[in-house]
Amino acid sequence: MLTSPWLLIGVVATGAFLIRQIGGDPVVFHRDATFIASGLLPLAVFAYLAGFGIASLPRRSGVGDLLSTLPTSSRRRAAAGLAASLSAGAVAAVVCVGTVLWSMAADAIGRPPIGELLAGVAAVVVAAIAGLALGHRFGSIVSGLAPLVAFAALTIVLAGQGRMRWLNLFVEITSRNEVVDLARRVPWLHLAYLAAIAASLVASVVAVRPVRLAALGAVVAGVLGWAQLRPADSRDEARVTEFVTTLDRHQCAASGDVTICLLPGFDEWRDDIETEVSRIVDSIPESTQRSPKRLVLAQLVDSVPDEGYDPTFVNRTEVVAIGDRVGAAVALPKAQPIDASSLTALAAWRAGLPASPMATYLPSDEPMRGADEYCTRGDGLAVAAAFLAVAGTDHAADLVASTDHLVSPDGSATSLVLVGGVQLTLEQAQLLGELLDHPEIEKLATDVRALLDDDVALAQLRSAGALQAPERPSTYPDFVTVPPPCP
Amino acid sequence: MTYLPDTVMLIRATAMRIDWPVLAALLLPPVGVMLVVGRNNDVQIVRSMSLLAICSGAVAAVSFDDEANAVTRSLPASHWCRQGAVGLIAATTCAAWWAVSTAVATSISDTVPAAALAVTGAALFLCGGVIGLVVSRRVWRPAGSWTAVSAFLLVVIAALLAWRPLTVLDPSDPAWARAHQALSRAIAPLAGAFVVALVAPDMRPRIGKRRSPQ
Repeated sequence: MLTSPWLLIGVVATGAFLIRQIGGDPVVFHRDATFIASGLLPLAVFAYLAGFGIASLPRRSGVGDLLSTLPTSSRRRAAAGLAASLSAGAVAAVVCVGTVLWSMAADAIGRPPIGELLAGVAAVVVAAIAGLALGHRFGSIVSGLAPLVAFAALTIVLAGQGRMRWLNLFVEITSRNEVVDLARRVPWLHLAYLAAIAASLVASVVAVRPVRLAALGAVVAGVLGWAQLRPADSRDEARVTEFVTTLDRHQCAASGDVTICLLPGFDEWRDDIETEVSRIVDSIPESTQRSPKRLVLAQLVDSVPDEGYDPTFVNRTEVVAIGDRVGAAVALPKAQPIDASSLTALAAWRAGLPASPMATYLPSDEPMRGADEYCTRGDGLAVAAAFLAVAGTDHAADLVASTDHLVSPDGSATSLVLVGGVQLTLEQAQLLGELLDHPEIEKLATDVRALLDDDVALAQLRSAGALQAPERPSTYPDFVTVPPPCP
Repeated sequence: MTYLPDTVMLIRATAMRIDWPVLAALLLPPVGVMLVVGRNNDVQIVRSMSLLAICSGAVAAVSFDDEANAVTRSLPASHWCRQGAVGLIAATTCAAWWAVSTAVATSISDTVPAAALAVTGAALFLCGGVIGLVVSRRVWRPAGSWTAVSAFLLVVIAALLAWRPLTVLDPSDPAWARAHQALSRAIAPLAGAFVVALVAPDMRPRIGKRRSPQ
């Protein structure tokens, strides 16, 4: 199999795929390991094709009868062919180790999780075994495509199906923020699941009683697959809790008024974050700064899987506190300039303002809509500019420039939709418009703050329908370009 | 007039060596995905149809580069007639696939971008056909490899990696329209390349007419 040129091409395609998967930012191993593993997908596809081509060659070229005259039994020949699949695994392991070493040379963070990476290598071996096993059964080239298409279809079906996607050869992690999912998943269980599938395929070719043994392997694989899907138990929740949710597990360090708390293993982000936080906080004019409050920035994992967890557990993701009043979710980026949404929250905090212009500032138990709802730099900047405008800086023009596409063509503020699907009500839009247009925005900002501190006024506003947490609209006004979903 | 009987014989001989049950089986997974998770979910429908489009291209590639084509090389027909028969059968098969899957898709969702998907399918079919025709004339065949299918999949993977519009699978994404406009512009060059590859003379020695060693 090593001599098959398509395995070499698979390596090249895998290299390109890996660069796409993990390129750009420095790698954080216990988050990006699944990206490295799933980056082996092209290698798996070409290993399958190479295996099928090799195994089906005698049948396609009509030399099967000739081979059957050899003193070696057909099962032994098949077993030797299947052993060649290990060479595909060796190639995958080399690619995997090379990627890890390259990442480490590029200042990767954390330690590589062996289980996740081995699962990727094992998936390549399973694909090669599948190609070899099916190649022994089928002679037509087109027939080899059918399992490949079925595999792709199964991947499509299982993708985005919660934990069901763990039954795929390669586990799809749709967002790099889903670190918590990795803490929940047991890679060794997935490895055993893949091994059972491989054993079943091997047995179907070389065993004396292929049907029985293949069925046994399939049953074992099913059990192991089911074990991956079982509801989260207390141990799982404990593991996830240990990984993310409590501030106690964060490693905190104070820098002036700001305390930055990071998860274990992410400490190398601290300098970058401190630099950015200082830059932003210092950029707020002193005249608008309120008395310093305690600000705790904690690394937030904002995607806890819904299923299998106690609802109160799921909701315990709010780990950031601004002062003693409201929480604001500040998603801390890694090793890159802090993003616009975090800038929003920081500017708001420093100016003594709520975290966003929507209902998030109500000191109640209403659902919080934190600044991290703004998922692109453009909308984050719009909101950031709003706060800076309110704070009396000269950034109002930025907001005007960034909200051109948010109002109707005739200029009336009928609705205001921010990219990412966040919609402001009419009252909220008008309030924001007044804040922008008012010549004495600093005074108005003071009034707004006073308003927000006035429980009676807040109650009136709330009864009027303003300041409610808006729901994502099912349809958008005609003049609004439908925003892309958050990545 | 012996053209008609010869043509019928050629098409019949070409069709007989095709593994029809497997070709039919290739249709089942994408349609199954649509029925299972595609109801009122255009993204899943688009994914399924895209998978089917890739299958169409792979079938086109393997149809022109199938060892079984040697069966028809002894028939009294020109090279482009033989290849035309293969192309006709492959195109008819893929069109039938496409009709069935589009019917299923439109029955479970009112907003399926059928025209854009048809452009994708046609582009990939032509791409697979060109690769199959070119590769079938190769002088070097690596042992045990699926040359045409592998080459086609390699092109698809490379395009997916390098050309961002191909990865747009959400019809509500503004990039969707741009991607399919680009694909529709690629149809004409691909069709031209397909025709050129189809009618190009076969440079390989015919069976039974190999030059004897001096």
